[in-house]
Amino acid sequence: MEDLASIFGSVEKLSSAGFLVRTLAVGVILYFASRFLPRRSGGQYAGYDFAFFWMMGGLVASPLFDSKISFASVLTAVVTIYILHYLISYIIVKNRTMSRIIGGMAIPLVAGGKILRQNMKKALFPLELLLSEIRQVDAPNLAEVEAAVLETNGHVSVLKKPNFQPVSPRDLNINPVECGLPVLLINEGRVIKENLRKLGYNREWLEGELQKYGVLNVKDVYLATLDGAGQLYYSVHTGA
Amino acid sequence: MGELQAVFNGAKELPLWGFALRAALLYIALIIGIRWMGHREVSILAGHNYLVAAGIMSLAAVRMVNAEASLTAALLIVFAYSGVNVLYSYLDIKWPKAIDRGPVVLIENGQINKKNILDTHVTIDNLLGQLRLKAAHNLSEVAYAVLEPTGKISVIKKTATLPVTRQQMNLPAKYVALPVLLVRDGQVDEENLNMLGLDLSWLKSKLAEKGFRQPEEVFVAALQADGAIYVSA
Repeated sequence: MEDLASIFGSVEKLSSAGFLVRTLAVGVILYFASRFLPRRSGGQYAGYDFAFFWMMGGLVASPLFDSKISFASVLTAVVTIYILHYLISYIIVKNRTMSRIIGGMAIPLVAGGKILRQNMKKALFPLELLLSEIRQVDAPNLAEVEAAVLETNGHVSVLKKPNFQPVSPRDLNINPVECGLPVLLINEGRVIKENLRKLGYNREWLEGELQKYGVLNVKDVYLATLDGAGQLYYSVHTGA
Repeated sequence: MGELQAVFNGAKELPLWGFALRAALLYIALIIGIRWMGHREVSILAGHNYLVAAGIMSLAAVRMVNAEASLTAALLIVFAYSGVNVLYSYLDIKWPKAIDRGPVVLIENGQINKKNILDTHVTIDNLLGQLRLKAAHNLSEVAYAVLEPTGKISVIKKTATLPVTRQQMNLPAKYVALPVLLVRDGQVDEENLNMLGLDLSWLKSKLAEKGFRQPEEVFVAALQADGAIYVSA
């Protein structure tokens, strides 16, 4: 078995066992890399996120490509790109001009129901692709489209003409209760006291509510949530 | 025999069939690895999932074509790296906070959370773009926007701006369930048929109503919750 210097350094040849140790070491880097992953990179909002997203995985795993690739060079490259991504993100949040230069801007493709030929040409966006993009958002007919925008992540957002939009409660003068985000009350049998307290309830109240549905033991509940309308959802362990 | 050994151990030069064999074996190893890592790998649910996804593909590709790289080591690495990923996914269920990070609320009760949006480096243009992609063109329609750990922004629109539901119209509840496939590519799914308490003669009579004499003539037939049968030849 090789010494540590050849496993982590740059050598001509490394045994399979050596590569196994390398894989585990890469696993440790993987942990920290995913802990500090910039959230926006996964969302791929702009081109530089896209580059980061697709490069970083290969970069982290690169000591496994070839025994000549040393951990020192990989770590240096990873840290450099993390810092660079952070700096670019910092700059574009602070400065809109820089954001336009680095991240690009959204390009309107359809406005007022009319296709903007100039913009289509400028974005090198073929008509076929526009039709494909609007099919994917349930607006297969261009006649339904009031506005379409090519976003910086390469997808097209569509605003439908009012006559093709679904009827909303507002149109019918119905005032529905706002449900909001449900709050987690029980997770795998454990009551989340903090969330209960925030809502002004306590454990006894929750147990009482569950008893109304015939659930006697909180431990049997896999998940329970409460939405803004006061509706309790629960799911019990079923064994399956 | 010497050549085969060279294909596995790596050599200065390899015959073309050697590269074909290496490519085929590594591709199969990747398929097995990805099946092992599970659905969450394909959908990329957490940071480690995506780093492994991009990493494992490129390392397999690089090692496929590098004659001097050992194939044995490559196969071992693919499985070991998949194993590391499965371990993190398992730990993610055990201790979610230790592996992945939680979601960040960007809009709460219709109000933008300025601190969170600056902390996560999302520009206002990024936010508006992502909202538009979710058909929320006006900020006033948005009740909540949450930046998920994978970077996607989920949008919860205000109830009054969503399509009307049956409940809001006071319409009676309707029975819904997933449709059950009865025929696929001309083959009758007897298990599904029995599960519903139906038999072949019932199916044949239903198909006859649609103008089909034999199930073999049908590509797909499914029973829907509303009792209707969908048939396509």
